[in-house]
Order: sequence, then structure tokens, then C-alpha cells
Amino acid sequence: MAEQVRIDLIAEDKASDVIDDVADAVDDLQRLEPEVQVGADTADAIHGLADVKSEAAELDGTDSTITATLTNQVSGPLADIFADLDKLQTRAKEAGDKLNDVGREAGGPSGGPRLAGNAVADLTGPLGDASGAASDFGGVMDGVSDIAEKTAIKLGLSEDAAAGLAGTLGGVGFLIAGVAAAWSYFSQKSAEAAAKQKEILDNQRKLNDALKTGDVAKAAQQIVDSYGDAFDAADKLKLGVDDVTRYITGQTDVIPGMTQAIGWLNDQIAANSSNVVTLTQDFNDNRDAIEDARRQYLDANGALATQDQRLADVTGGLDRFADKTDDGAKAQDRLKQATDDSSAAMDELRGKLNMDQAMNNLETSFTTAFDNIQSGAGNTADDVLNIKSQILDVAESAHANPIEVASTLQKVDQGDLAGAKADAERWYQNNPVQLTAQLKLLRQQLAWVGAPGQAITVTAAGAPVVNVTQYVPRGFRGDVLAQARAAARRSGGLYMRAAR
Amino acid sequence: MRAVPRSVLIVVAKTLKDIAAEEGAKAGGPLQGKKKRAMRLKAYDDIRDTDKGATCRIQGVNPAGWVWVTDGTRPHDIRRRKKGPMRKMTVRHPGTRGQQSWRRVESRASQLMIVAFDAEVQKVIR
Repeated sequence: MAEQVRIDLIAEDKASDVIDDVADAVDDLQRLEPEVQVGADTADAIHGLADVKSEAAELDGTDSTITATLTNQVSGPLADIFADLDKLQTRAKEAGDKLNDVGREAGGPSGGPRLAGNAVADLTGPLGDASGAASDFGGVMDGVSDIAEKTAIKLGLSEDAAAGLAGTLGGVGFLIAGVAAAWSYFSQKSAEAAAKQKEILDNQRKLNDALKTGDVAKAAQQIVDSYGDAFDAADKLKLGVDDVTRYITGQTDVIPGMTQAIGWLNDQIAANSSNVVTLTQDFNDNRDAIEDARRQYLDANGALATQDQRLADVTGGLDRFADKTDDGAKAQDRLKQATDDSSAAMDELRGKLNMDQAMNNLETSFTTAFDNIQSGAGNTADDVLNIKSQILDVAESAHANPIEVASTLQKVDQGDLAGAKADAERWYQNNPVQLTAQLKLLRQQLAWVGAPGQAITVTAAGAPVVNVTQYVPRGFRGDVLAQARAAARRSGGLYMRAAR
Repeated sequence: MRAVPRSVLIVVAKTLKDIAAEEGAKAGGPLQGKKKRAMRLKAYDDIRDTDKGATCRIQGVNPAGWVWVTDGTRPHDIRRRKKGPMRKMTVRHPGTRGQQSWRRVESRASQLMIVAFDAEVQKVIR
């Protein structure tokens, strides 16, 4: 009896019992309230406490107010610093004025700037951030008027202004400083604009996501965070939050409460006629904030839609590329499979061809040998050796058992050519590479193939005559020869019987 | 600590089922069962709590298939595989040699148990 096909695993926890005992003991200890009596001389401690008490009383009687007086007079190093700051401010103003002169004709009414190249480093104040860039830029472009002109045009200056800039190249340093400053300012503002745009898009995406998932609270919070200025402005105009929200999100193209707000404004104007301009300006400013929020909302949605479309296009392109790659890989697999199949088929055919060739040679030799025997001439030693060699060829192609081969060769030595021939035919028939080959020897030597319903007699020529009788069903339309052969094989083997 | 046996057995059971399926496939599964139905060689688990921990039984299914691939079969008669009037005739099957498949599962299980228990107890202690 076979053993059971199962595995029994038993896991026991013995540690918890021990740990529980320890935990119980700890609990018992914690529930105990031990009293410990300590005997000590506390006289010194009492004295110390008395001293502390008396000192506290003395402190209590003193005036602890700290008076600090600040004077507005500045002197010493601080005065120098203030003087430097004043100087710095003045120079900054001068730099600003000279920047305003950039673009005017050199030597014109204003005279134009005529600063030296190394004056770049003196720029401070509003141009302080740009001075480093100006120095680098100036080092590259110093004295190259045409390049400066092209650069100025790229920066958005008109051709006249650029020509003016080129004309002032006597003071090229300052010119370059101006260009570099503009460049730096432009880059900084571009970065700020890009960051702001990204922030708006991120907020809008969060808002859209919240709306998609039906998270109304989150969506409300998001819209308040994104367009807080607009809501502040609406509050000043006494407009309802709901109306403004619907207006910003494009649900309505007009603000329903705007008429009332205008009425409220008119009331305010009537009541404060002296501040009409201020009130109107405030109203317009606040209304502009709401308009800006609406435009921002619509722009962000448009940008998001464009981004989503591009993302979808790219994803689609990648998917198509992946599909093509998969198709290519599959085609390669099929090609490889076909090549393998073809190679296997060729090997099989080659094996079969070798086998057929060897069997043909053996068949010829056996025919000659039988003819020699029948004619009484007999077979020479060379004939026997030839037959043995060809038997070995067939055995090798058929991968026959070496013990069987030795037995067959022994039959040849003993003159049992029929037995040897039967062995060779059996190898040929059982050969694994032989799939469709017909048994030529048997077919040539069969005298007759019976009709359906009649007994078939299969005779192996040259061998002791053995009859195998096989009845086929009436009306049988199959291959009678194959049926007879298969029946013989089932009953122990046609050729096995022939060899007995 | 009391949860360790069960949690370890869950991990071990999952792994052993994977191992059994792998060894079953290596041994030639799915075998051909009655009416030529596919007989997959795999295992199922049965984990039960006890007073002192937990037990787990890993049962190989289909048991017959596991026995064949583990211990082999003796020579026996089988029906001819071809269709037709001779279908009911039998032929002699020479039998098969066992591949010790389930014993390999047992061997791997015994090694796995030790490692899994160590890892789980370390987790608790840490």
C-alpha cells in the first residue's frame, strides 16, 4: 500500500505560556504598594530651606523694573553705513536714468551713455542681480557691435533702438550691461510665469479630478483655494458665492447678482458723492478680479484638454509601436518554428533515405544469395561477408539492439538466411524514422491480396511457409494489406513467427 | 506570540502548494485521467487552530496521480488506444518507474518550515 500523499504540520506555541507566567508575576508586583521607611537627619535641610525663604523675602522687596532708553542719534560706524546706503541709492538712481537713455542716438540731445566697459561692475541697486551676468556677457561681447545689435533685436527692441544701441558702442560696457540686465529680467519673469502657469494647471487638474469623483467638498475647497482673490472681490461687491462660482466655471455667462451689485454701487455713490471716482475704481478692480479668475479657469481647462489630447496621442503611438513590436516578435517566432520544423523534417527524411538505401542493398544481396542457393551454385565467403555488412548498415540506421544484431549475424553464419532477412525486415518496419515507407520486400513477394470478406494468406517468400489467417468485416473498405499486417503484428508478429 | 503558529502555517501552506504544483508539472502533470480528463498534480491545505497552536495538512491532489509519479506503477493491462472494433482488446503496459515527486515535496517542506518559523519568530521578537 502506498503511503499517504499528505504532509501534516503541527505548530505549537510553548513560549506564550512562559511569557504569560512572567507577565502575571509582573502584574502582581505592580499591584503591590510597598511602604519603605527611611531614617535620615533632616536638620541641615531645614536650615537650608530657611535661608532660601529669607533670600526670597529680600528679593520680593526690591524694584525689578528695567529701564531702557533708546536714542535716535546715530554715530560711529552706523553713521558710515547709512552714508554708504545713501550713496548706493543715488548711484542706483543714476543707473536707472542711464538705462532709460539706452536707444537714443549717441551724441543726441540727451548725450547718450558713454560709459567704459569696466563700468558694468559698478551697477548696483536694481541691477545688482544682473551685474554678474553683465560682466560675463560684457566679456564676450565687448567691442562686437553687430552682435550686440542682433541680440538687442532678439530681445524685442526695434531696429531703430538696436541701431541706437550699436551707435553707443563707444560706451559698450554700459550697453552690454543694459542688454544683460534685460536678459536676466526676462529670464526671471519667464520662469515666474512658467511656475505660475504650472501651479494654475495643477490646481485645475485637482479640481477636475474632484469633480469627476463626485467629491463636492474637495472640489469646493479647491476652487476656493485657487480663486480666493476672486471670491474676496465678489464679497466686496456684495455678490453671492454661488453666482460667482457658476460664472467662473462657465455655467453662466453673466453674473445674476451683478445688476444688484451695480445698484448697490450707485447707492454708495449717491451716499458718498465726494468719493465717486474711488468707488467706481474699486468696483472695476473687483470686477476685473472675477473676470481674471474666469479667464484663468477657461484657459487652464483648455490647456489641460490640449495636454490630455497630446498624452492620448503619444499613448496611442506607443501602443501602436508596441503592437508592431509584438507582431514582429510573433513573426520571428513563427519563422523560427518553421525553420525548426523544416530541419527536423529534413533530418527525418535523411534518416529514412539512409534506411531505404541500406534496405535496398540488403534486398539485392538476399535475392542474389537465394538465387545462388536455388541454382545450386551456393554462396561464397565474400557474399556472406557482404550480407553481414549490409545487415549491420540496416541495424545501425534502425537503431537495433546490438544483442539482436549479433543473433542475426549468427543466423547468417548458420545458413539461416531467411531468419536473418526476417530480422532485418522487422527492424526496418519498427524503425522510428520510417513513417510512410512501404515494405518493398513483402510487397514484391506477396502472391495475392484477397478481396474483402475472404481470408488473406500472407506468405514470406524464401522463409518457411507460415500462414496467418485474418478475417476482415464484410463491407470492409480499408487497406486490406495494412489490416492483415496489423493483425499479424498484434498476434505476436508475422516475422517473429517466420523466424521460429 | 500566540498568533505565530497560524501565521507561519499560512505562509508555509502557500509555499508548499506552489512547490507541489511545480513538482507535479515537472513529473509530467497534468496526467491523463478517466475519459482523458486532465489530472493536475497539485495540493490543497487545511489549517485548523488547536489549544496549543495550529495544525496544517497539505494534501496532494489528485492522490492517485501523485502515487503514480512517486512510486511508479506495476505492469498492467490497458485498453487499446485506437478506435474501432478492436477497441476492447487490451495490451500489456510494462509499468512506470517512480520519480519520487511527492518525497521531493516533503523534503523541501521540511527545510522550508525551519526557515519560515525562524523568520516569523524574529519578527515577533523584534
